[in-house]
Amino acid sequence: MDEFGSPAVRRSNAAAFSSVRTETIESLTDLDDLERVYAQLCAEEKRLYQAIQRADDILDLKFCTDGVQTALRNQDYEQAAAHIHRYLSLDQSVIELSRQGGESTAVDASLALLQEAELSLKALVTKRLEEAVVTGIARIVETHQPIVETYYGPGRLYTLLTHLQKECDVQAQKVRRITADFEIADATAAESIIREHQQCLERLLKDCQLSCTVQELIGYYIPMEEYYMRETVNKAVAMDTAEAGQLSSSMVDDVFYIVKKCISRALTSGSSDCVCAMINHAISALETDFREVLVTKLRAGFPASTLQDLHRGVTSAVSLMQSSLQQGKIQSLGIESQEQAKTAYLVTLNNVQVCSENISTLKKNLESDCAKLFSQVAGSEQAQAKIDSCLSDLVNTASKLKDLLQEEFSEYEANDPWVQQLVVQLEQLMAEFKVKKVACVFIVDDDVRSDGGRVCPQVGLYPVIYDTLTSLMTSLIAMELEKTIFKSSFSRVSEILDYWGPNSGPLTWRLTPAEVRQVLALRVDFRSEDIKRLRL
Amino acid sequence: MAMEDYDYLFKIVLIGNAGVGKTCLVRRFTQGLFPPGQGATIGVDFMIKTVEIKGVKVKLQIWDTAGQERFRSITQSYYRSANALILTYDITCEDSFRCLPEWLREIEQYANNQVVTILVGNKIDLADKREVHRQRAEEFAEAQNMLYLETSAKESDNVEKLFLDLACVLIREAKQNTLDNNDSAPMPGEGKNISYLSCCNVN
Ligand SMILES: Nc1nc2c(ncn2[C@@H]2O[C@H](COP(=O)(O)OP(=O)(O)OP(=O)(O)O)[C@@H](O)[C@H]2O)c(=O)[nH]1
Ligand SMILES: [Mg+2]
Repeated sequence: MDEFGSPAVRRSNAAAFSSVRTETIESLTDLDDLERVYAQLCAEEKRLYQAIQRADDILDLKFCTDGVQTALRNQDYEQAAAHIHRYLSLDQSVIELSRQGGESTAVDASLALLQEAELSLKALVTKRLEEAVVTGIARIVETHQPIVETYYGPGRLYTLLTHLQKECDVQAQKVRRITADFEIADATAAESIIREHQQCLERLLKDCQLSCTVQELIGYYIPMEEYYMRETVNKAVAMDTAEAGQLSSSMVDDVFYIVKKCISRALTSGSSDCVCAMINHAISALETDFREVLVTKLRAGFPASTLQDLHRGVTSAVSLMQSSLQQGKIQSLGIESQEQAKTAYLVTLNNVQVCSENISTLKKNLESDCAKLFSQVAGSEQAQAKIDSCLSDLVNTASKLKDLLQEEFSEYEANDPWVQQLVVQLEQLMAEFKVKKVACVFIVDDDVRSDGGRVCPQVGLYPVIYDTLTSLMTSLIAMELEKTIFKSSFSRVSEILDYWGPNSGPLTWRLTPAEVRQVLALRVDFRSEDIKRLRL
Repeated sequence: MAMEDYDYLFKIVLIGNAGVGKTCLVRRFTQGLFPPGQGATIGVDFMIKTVEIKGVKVKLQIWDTAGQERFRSITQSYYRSANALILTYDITCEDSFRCLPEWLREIEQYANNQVVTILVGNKIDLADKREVHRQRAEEFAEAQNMLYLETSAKESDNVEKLFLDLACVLIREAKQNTLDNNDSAPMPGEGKNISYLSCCNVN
């Protein structure tokens, strides 16, 4: 074999092969012809090479066939695998060609033997693997448990398990090596064959008793985790507090901390089904229960509370009026409006915004965590596809929450419930006002009669009271309206200047610049510097 | 977000007793084959196929769930986001038909209320072993407001039709929803009383 390989010999051989062409060379006159002949010679040389290679391969094939049988007989699986590896790395076309030669039956027999050996080795390895890793260890636990517990006491099983776990890890390492071996064996195979082999292996591992049991266990775990998540989310909602000056309240961050924790815990199972199930449950918790909470808070809303303030303000104005009249003087009225309800509404709006941001962050984090965890595992493509799909649902949740904001805003634009509620409330207010007015007059009458010493022109008093109350009402309503306008009409602080001072047109604002600033400060999205800087 | 190459994306979830042929239906539709020796599904399998219906590209995300009771808590989590459910039973197995009310309770409990449900009787190639009469199943489906179709994953009977018809219904519902949201009157021919199952030209 070896002398075939030396260049000198090869060249002389090639020359001998083309002895016919030697004459041609002699008659050559130009370089072109020479080049063509050289190319022909090279082609001859290449073919010769291939012939030698094929001879080599056929010899190898025989060697492998004999070797693998001996190795299998001796239970030397490493050696058998090495032979099969060599066989698999042989050029398949060469093998095909060999079958057409004179020795075809012998080659066919070798091939059949090798393929058979490959299959039986694979089956054997698989069987051994399952036995060793799963059944083996389970059996050890089963048979040793009574002995250990009887002779060493109940708590001692743990010690046995620690030792077994070590062995389990070693075995698992071997499983991984075998996966790598498969990959090497397939290195030269076609793409489709590689995929098929991988799928077989994945199915093998996926369908084994162990992974069934794991899935079952996950089946028990998920309802517990889901229950825990729901309950703690409810708790976070119940404990919701908004610190003064904070743009959003405690529950948004709490809820996302909980959801993140639960999904992360599911992630440690290493099962994509487990992670997906928890992501799905998280989505449904956020989209149903939690969304409901936000919607309810939004519905309780800003306008209603303002009107309640207004109502309260006028009611207290009327009663103040009564007492003032009794004392013979009218006090200037400072109306403390309840800012809390308004702030709560604005915080909720903000909460919705923060929630959808949190969801996006959560999605990004989970995406990278999952990519890290599942990239090396068998069947990772499928796992990744599932997770991607569930994560994209999570992102949809964010946009659904954003829609909530949009809905809220456009609803106000479309059928301004503020005005509708204002009308209703004003009607109530007026009815009450009439009653109070009458009561007022009676009180004044009584006063005058019981205390004649007071300078109080009785007849002139009615219009005074009426005018005062009316103008008081008007200005209260106007002030509240103005506050609302300043608070909700502008998307940027500077826009106010379009309606203020020289730009105010026919409007005369009742609010002072200081009051306007105060109102604007309630807007969580306005920066206080901008408000201060405003030249009113 | 990246531009995706489809007009609609729908999630379809297959449910039903173990062994009725859910996985075979999905494999027939997505890969065009009838898998020999198909083992029981563990957990959930996931496949995607994009189809074109009258020039509209529809991406179908198909979740094939395990029928076995012990995997229920994993599979249930997929109901809520499903646009359509394919509730499958085996026409040669009375038991799988009798379990349907139980499955309907699951749907009631976990799915969203706009979900489209289709009842599928599979394995019609085994006509001589039939245990559930077609009429009985049809009546049941109608009473429960479900569409009904009989298939054979093995002979590839009605499998394409199943998924394409479903896609048609879902497109229609999606269009209806956007119409509702835009508060405008339905377009002529978009009325509810058109038979969904005849709307598609499957071939
Ligand atoms: N004759 C016939 N057999 C079918 C048909 N569809 C499925 N089968 C067989 O029914 C058995 C179960 O099919 P699967 O698709 O695994 O059933 P499944 O509903 O996915 O079962 P789970 O995954 O356990 O829930 C397999 O042996 C299939 O070969 C069909 O249309 N005709
Ligand atoms: Mg299945």
